[in-house]
Order: sequence, then structure tokens, then C-alpha cells
Amino acid sequence: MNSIVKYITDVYRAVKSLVTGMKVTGYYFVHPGEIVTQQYPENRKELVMFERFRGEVIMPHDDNNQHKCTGCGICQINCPNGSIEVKSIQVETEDGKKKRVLDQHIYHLSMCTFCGLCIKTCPSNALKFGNEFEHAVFTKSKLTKVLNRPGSTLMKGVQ
Amino acid sequence: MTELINVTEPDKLTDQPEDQDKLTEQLEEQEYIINMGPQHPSTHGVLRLVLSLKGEIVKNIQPHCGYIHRGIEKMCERLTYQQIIHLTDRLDYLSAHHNNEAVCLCVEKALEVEVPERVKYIRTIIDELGRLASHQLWWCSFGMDLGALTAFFYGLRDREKILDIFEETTGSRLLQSYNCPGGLMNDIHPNFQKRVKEFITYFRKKLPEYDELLTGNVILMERTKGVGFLSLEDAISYGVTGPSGRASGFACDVRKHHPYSAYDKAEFKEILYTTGDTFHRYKARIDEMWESMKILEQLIDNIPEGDYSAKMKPVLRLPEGEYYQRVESCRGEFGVYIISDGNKTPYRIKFRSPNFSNLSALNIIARNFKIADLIAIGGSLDLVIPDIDR
Amino acid sequence: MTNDQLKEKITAIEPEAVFSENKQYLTLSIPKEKLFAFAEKLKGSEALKFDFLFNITGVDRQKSLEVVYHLDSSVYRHVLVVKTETTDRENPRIDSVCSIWHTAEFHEREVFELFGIKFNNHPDLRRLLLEDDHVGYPFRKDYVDDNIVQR
Ligand code: SF4
Ligand code: SF4
Repeated sequence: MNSIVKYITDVYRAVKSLVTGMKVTGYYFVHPGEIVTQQYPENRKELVMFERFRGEVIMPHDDNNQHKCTGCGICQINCPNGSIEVKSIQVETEDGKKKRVLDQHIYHLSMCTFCGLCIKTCPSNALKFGNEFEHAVFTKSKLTKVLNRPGSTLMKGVQ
Repeated sequence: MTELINVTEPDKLTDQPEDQDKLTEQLEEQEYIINMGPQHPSTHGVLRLVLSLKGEIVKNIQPHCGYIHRGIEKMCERLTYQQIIHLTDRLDYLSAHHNNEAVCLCVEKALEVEVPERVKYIRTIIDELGRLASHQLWWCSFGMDLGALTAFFYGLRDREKILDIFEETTGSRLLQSYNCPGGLMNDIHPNFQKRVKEFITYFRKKLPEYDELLTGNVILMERTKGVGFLSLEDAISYGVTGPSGRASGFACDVRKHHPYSAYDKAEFKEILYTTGDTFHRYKARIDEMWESMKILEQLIDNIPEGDYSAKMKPVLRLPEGEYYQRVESCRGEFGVYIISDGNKTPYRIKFRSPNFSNLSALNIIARNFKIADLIAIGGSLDLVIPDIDR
Repeated sequence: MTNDQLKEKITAIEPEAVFSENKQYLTLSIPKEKLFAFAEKLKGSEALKFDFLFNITGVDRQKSLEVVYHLDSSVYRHVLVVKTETTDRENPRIDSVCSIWHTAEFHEREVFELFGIKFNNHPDLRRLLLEDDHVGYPFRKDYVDDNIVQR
């Protein structure tokens, strides 16, 4: 007798627990407004990343094609993965002095772990994280970028 | 698989029916070895378990790890203390912030730097958010291991909210690298407090759904209750920490017993169960989510004003000596042991990873249960493989 | 219990322990022959009850190979660091503490493959992380591998 009662209560409990779960899913079935799924890539246009999002390292340039990098190489020393190579050249300034300026700031996106040390330690705040996140390419060499634009110069007033 | 099994005197057996029966008999008596993994959905990563089975019963489990052994400890011997931080993210990626914090606390202890109160509060809050996110992901994947795919979507839905908070403040969703020795990389985002409070209100409503969907579910109960026992002695002896250890009654919460950051300022309960079966390992995590929310509520409004980082030298040289720091990561006790010889790189650094010890207990937990139960048990231990392999 | 009280109690059971300076945890070293008996006493003693071994670290001190045990008590919550070392680099052997703390099984396997320290009486001393045909002990300071990037 007891076993029959137990059997019936067990069945009852089991069905009840299933119905409880179904209630939750049923609720969302009739409330489509609460669905949070985003339709990527269809929503590419509206998709805005947060301002601090770490997509890649970039070097901001102003309207006159000027950047703030002095070519000191501190970011290169601080990068744990060796993803930055700073190439600087000696040039002669107008008053005849020799000065080191940035030639190429090479950045290997494929080796970067987005730790932020280069940006934090740069003495002249020349680097910044960009929000671009769609980095998939077919050849690895495309992930090696030169951050300073061609023909760009050092911003006035940056030492 | 027959090649793997040694049949006694196989040459004498012919293909006569009676001999074949004898062969079947012998094979049934012997243990059957199968490989689970390295690419098995329920090992959550590249872990290979070599199982000895007798029928459906698991008799022995030999874990084979190291598929993603990167030698992080050796790599760290060549990196400065600031540079080490980003590698610790990659141990247990779901408790990235806890690991970062452990290294930072250890370095700060060695240099005797007092970090601003603000930093301590923010670190604790992000710790707890990370714990919530990790437990949510565990809940989804545990459900999925047991065949409840619905759970997966509900857990991820809520986890997304936390990841958004992380992204806004730290810049990354998973591997935050938000700590640096002395403080934080940057200050919290102005929206941070508002968003965390919104999230807590939201999640207080949504967490009961977890119980309705999965906890009371008859299939989950049948598959977890009374399955995979870990006794208190074994939990201590095998060093099983975190929710898995606490389900066996092992009071091992580092936050409570060796408080760090701002944990001494918050009231919370250490979740302890006594049976140590799969269901209670499950319950311990669900309860921990409630406790985490309690901690968040107490701290979020009281973040003191101040700097987000102490003044640090650009090159850190730890004084000669040995330093150890324990923190409670999402899966148990994480420890950093630094031996310094006075240089700017550590002489030896060791990470005590919780999953490594938790995995060692898998053999005694799952032994003599069915192979299907092993999936539930493995899920309830919540192993993260990169943390084991390091 | 403060570190000084702990020190007294430990000196009582093992007078040969050499304590070293450490601000955080009480640290001592013990000759490797005495390790096992000492470890048994640490766990067995009612007043100490070091039942939770939370970390085993291998260290290459160049002159010697060292193994560091971090012990905690789940009852009293005091922490002790025990060190033992061997100067034999060719065939280093140290007693296993597996039978006292089961967690040592995995930790010792790790130390074995990374430092080459063999643990006597270990039930299953196999490689854990490296591939089976790996040559050398990578965490030793004199390990050379062409793939390691020098900086
Ligand atoms: S980016 Fe900054 S740190 Fe790097 S070379 Fe330029 S100025 Fe120096
Ligand atoms: S973010 Fe880190 S890894 Fe990437 S380039 Fe900068 S320093 Fe190197």
C-alpha cells in the first residue's frame, strides 16, 4: 500500500517540477519583449562598443596628421609579448641639432593580449585602445600594422 | 578495443561456440578501458580521463592533463611583476580578476605598500561580480551536461549583464587585466555603481527562476542526489576547496578565515553543507550567488573617495624573501607563492590552482558510480582546464 | 595561536627543525630523512592538527633542489611552511607524503616532472603535464631549450 502511495506522490511531484519549469519558459514565450538576443551581424550599424573596450591598440592622429609618439621605445620594453617594435631614425632639426624621431611604430595585433601596459606606461599618451573588434583575416601578416600614418609628424609641444 | 584487454591464454580459445562463450565471460570479468576526452563536451576543455569500467560502473579514473600546459610559471620568471598580471588571467579565465588580485596583493605585501581603501572596495566588488558570472556560467553548463539545454540560455542571458558592466569599466569582458600592483589600471566608470545596483535588483528577481527551472527538476534530483560522495576527511586530505569542498563541510572560505581586500567589512555567510554529494555541490553554488549579492549590496554604496592607485615606482624590485597570498577564486583557494632574490623578476613563482587539487579527488568521488554519473560529478566540480595545466 | 607559540610547540616535537626568518608564516627546514616522520607528527598531533596541505612547490636553488610544503589546519587555522632540500642533482630523492595528505599525489607528480625530484613510496609517479618523451626538467634553472625566447 505504502509503495503505491509513494509511487503516486513521486509521479505527482515529478510532473509538478516539470510544470514549474515549463511555466518559466512559457512566460518568456508569451512575453517576446523580454528577449535580449541581438541579431549580429545584422545589427552592425547600431552596435556601439563601450568607450573603454579593448579592441586593438591605435595611435590617434589629429587633423594635421600629427601624433604624439616621440619614439622613445618605452612601450616596446613594457610589452610582455613583444608585440610592439619601435623604429626611430636620427634627423637633423632646423637649428642643426640631431634628434631622434619615430619612423615606424609596428604593432603585431596577433601577439597582443590587450593587457594595456603600453598605453599605461607611454609617457606622452600617444597610444589608445580602439573599439574595432572584427579582426578576422585570412593572412596573418595583415595583423601586423604600422600605427603611425604615412607622412605623419610629431605634434607640437610633445617632448 | 579488444586489443587492450589481456585474455588469459587466448591461443587456446578457438572459434567454437563454447570457447566464444568463455571468451565473452572472461571479457566481462575484466575491466574495460576507455578514453573520455580530450575533446569531450563534458570535460569543458582538453582534459583526458582514462576510465576503467566494469560494465557501466567506473572502477578507476586516471586523469591525463597537460594538453594546454604553457609553462606560465616558467614564463613569469622572465617577466616583471606588472607583466605577470596578464598571464594570470589565462589560468582560470573565469576568475581572471581573482588571480590578478592575488598577484597584486602578494607584490603589495612584499613592498609594504598600503593601497587606498577605494581600491580595496572596487577589487572586492569586481571579485564578487566575477564570482556571480562564473557561477552563472557553471550553472548553464551543468544544466547542459545533464541535458537541460534551456538552462544554458537563461544563465548566459544574466551573465551578459555582468560582462557588460566589466566591459564598461575594465575594457574587457573575460580577461580583464584590471589590476596592477598598487591599485587598478583606471578608475571605475561613472555608470558603474548605478549599473551594479540595477543588476542586483534584476538578478534578485531572476535567480529564483534558476531554482524553478533546474533545482527542483525531477531529472536533476534523480541524477544528483546521493551521487558522488566526498567525505569531509577526504575533502581536507585531497585539498578540495571552494564550493565543492564546502559542500562536504570543509570550512575553507579564504574570504572568511584569512580576509583580504574589503571582505572584513562585509557580512556574509560561509555556505556549508555536510553530505558532499553532487546535489549539495550544486546547492552550495546557488547559495553562494545569494551571498555574493549580499556582499555587493553592502559595499556598492560605500566605495570611499580617493585614488584608484597608490604611487608606485615604474620598476618594482621585491626585497629578497618569500611571499604567499591566498585568495578565494570562484572554484576554491588560489594561491601565489613568490620567491624573490631582489631582482625585478621573480626567482620562482608558483600558482596554487584550486582545480588542480579538485581534480585529484575526482577518482575517489566518482569511483563505483555509473559512467553517466561521472558527467554530473565532473560538472559539479566545475573544472577549468587551463588552471590545471598552467 | 601566534607564530611564537607555534614555534614552541613544534620545537617540542622536533628539536632539529631550523626556523628561518619570514614575516608572514612560520617557516622551518628539516633534513629530508626526517621529513616523513615529522609530517606524520604534524598531522597527528592534537595541538597542531595540520591536516590541510595546500601547496607543494619545487624550487631550484642551484646548489640544491628544494621542496616547500604549505600546511594549514582546518581546526586552528594556523599556517606552517616546511622546507626540505637535497643537494643531489643527478638522482634527487625525497620521501613522499602522499599517504599523509592525499593531495600530495598530484603535486608531487608535478614536482617530479618539472624538477626531476623522485619521491620515495609514491604510489604512481608518472608524468602529469608534459608529453611522455620530453627530455629534461624544464623548471630547473639550467634547462636549455632553443624555443625559449631570451629577453
Ligand atoms: S608610443 Fe609612447 S612609449 Fe611608445 S615609443 Fe611612442 S612615445 Fe614612447
Ligand atoms: S596591450 Fe599589452 S600586449 Fe598589447 S601591445 Fe600593449 S603592452 Fe603589448
